[in-house]
Amino acid sequence: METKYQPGDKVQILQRNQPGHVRTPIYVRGKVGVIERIVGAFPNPETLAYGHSGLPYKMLYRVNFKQGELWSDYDGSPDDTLEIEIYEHWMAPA
Amino acid sequence: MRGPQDYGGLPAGAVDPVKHEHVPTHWEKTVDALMMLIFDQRRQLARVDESRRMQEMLGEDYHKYPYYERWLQAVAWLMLEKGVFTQEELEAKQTEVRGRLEAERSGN
Repeated sequence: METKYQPGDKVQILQRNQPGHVRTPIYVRGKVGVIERIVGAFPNPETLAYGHSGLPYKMLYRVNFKQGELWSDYDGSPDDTLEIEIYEHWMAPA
Repeated sequence: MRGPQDYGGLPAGAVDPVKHEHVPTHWEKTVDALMMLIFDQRRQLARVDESRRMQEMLGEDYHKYPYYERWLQAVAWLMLEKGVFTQEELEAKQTEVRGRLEAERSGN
């Protein structure tokens, strides 16, 4: 399966308000991060959760964010980061 | 839209760093075994993602339930949703089991 993004690419998580079994936390939506690694292709949990097949597979990435990007009042080191796994259909090039 | 799985960033108290380990009780192991049977490849009556969806539907109650009670509530709702049994059948079974346990406790 093709990967749209490669490690090092900057991506923005979509600011989308979607009902259902969404696995993208609100706190990363709209935020810009960097692809840390390609995790692989997995059945889509958004449809698996309703008894469907989860097909087509969705590519999953580990995304690295600066803590300061996520929390406007973050007072730790500017080098502090957070990594979280996000599906390809929840991001756009930044 | 904000379910109990998505509290990241909301105000909260200090994190309790003490580990509260717990030896699984017999009924908790029974729930675990039940889940294995329901999720297994051969039966596949449900998937773990469906169980998560149901647990998150507990909303604010999510945090009131201990871990295995959440699992049990989720699987009961899933089996109802899929028509494996009805609410009436579930309640009749609960009454039957409760009666049997009470009889055992009173030594009959």
